[in-house]
Amino acid sequence: MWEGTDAFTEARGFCELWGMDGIVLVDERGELPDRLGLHGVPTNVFVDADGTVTAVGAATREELVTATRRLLGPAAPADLDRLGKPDPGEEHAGPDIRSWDRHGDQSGSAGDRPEL
Amino acid sequence: MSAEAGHGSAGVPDDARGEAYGKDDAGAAGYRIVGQVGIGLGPEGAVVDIATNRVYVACARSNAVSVVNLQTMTADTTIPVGREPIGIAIDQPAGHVFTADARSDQVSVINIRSGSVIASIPVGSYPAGLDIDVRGRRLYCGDTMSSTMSVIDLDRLERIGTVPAELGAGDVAVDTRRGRAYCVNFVASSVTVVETDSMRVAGRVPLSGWPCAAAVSPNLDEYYVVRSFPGGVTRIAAANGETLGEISAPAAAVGLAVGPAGDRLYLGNRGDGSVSVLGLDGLEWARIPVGAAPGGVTVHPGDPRLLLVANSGDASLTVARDLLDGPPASVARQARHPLVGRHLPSFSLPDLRSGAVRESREWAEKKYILNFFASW
Repeated sequence: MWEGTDAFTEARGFCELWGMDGIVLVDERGELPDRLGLHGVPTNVFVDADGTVTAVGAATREELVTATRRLLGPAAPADLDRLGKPDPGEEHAGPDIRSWDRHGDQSGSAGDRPEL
Repeated sequence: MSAEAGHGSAGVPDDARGEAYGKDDAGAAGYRIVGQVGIGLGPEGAVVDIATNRVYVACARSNAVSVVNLQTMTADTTIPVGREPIGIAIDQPAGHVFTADARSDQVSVINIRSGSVIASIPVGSYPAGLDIDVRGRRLYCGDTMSSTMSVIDLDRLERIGTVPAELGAGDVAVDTRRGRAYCVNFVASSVTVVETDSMRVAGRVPLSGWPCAAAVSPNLDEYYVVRSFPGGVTRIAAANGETLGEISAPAAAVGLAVGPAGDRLYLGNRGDGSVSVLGLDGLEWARIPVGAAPGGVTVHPGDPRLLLVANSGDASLTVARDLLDGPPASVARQARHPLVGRHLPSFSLPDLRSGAVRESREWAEKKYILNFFASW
């Protein structure tokens, strides 16, 4: 977390919306990113079992797959390239933000519209 | 939290950013940082009043607009608006600045001369993106959580229409040549194309990934949509919505602007603290280091090489000058991050759910990824 008011509340809401169940730590003052020389989010830091950093960044899918494969070595799953990709025919995944629609307005569904 | 011994106050050397991309024939950097101004918290976008040469910056976490004097390079005024202003636009002839106040479900109207809010216009839920058609006298607002685009009359200062878009309707780009507005739907991963005269949906363009901003070419019949993940820019033909090509983008780009000559794009790389100068062929001409977590990139309307970058992560506005007349003679590869190959400094931080402080030694002898995300 970089900055901001009410960081814990905001972060909890964000994690709940996106279904993030893993370990989440909060850095309200951004001290750790400063120490590590990081300048934006999202940024990934890959750490090996002996504490050595093996990669920093990996913001694109290709970079993420490459860095993960390098970190895990022979233990990397064979289908790592497919990680996070929807199966063919599957709709674009994402949280249903309509659950946040405070006014109960369900207008705006796409319906059948022409492609353009 | 104590600093790791031997790593100094920052933990990594000051040259952690690597050398600049894009040197001209003389070998000089392709940009110059003119200044960096401290402003309100969470700045997301900026517009320029060319009459006074002042920059109006929407500061989402301060619920206010910071006004920066470009002559003195200082923020000399703060104007309270609604909650979480994200989108911002200017009606130069009328002397009005508009902010999309996401948590107030409204658009605030600032009178430039008085420096105060003169109207609050109700719109859809969680408005986040704005674009303006000054000649057509309309403002377009993406209402993220109601999946709509609100249309506001610039003279009556009231909403005159609501156009159905799709989930995550946010950034809007107006194409005055074709009489259209392109509404980027972040969650639905699409663009809703709207005819501005009739306020009717003309169609949709399906995309991939998480599109977050759009910009229209000033001289080609095409527009561009940037995706924050996986990174990249899609070129789309305005005539028929056909995808013309993809341009790869470096690091979680969320801000997008087109150079006035139409020959380059400027991307605010949230994940890298930089702005990329991209040729339309995908070649990165330069990478300009700015502040932390940059978002919106604005080209000064009166000075086509002057860039204004809202840095959400450190409450600052970077003013930078693009010095490149065209593609550079050489493009230097950025050095890898200096942390690579080194031991990660120990750290301790509170757990979001339990509140208990957790130390990095808990994960000793394990392989893991620290994912730094969000800047709320």
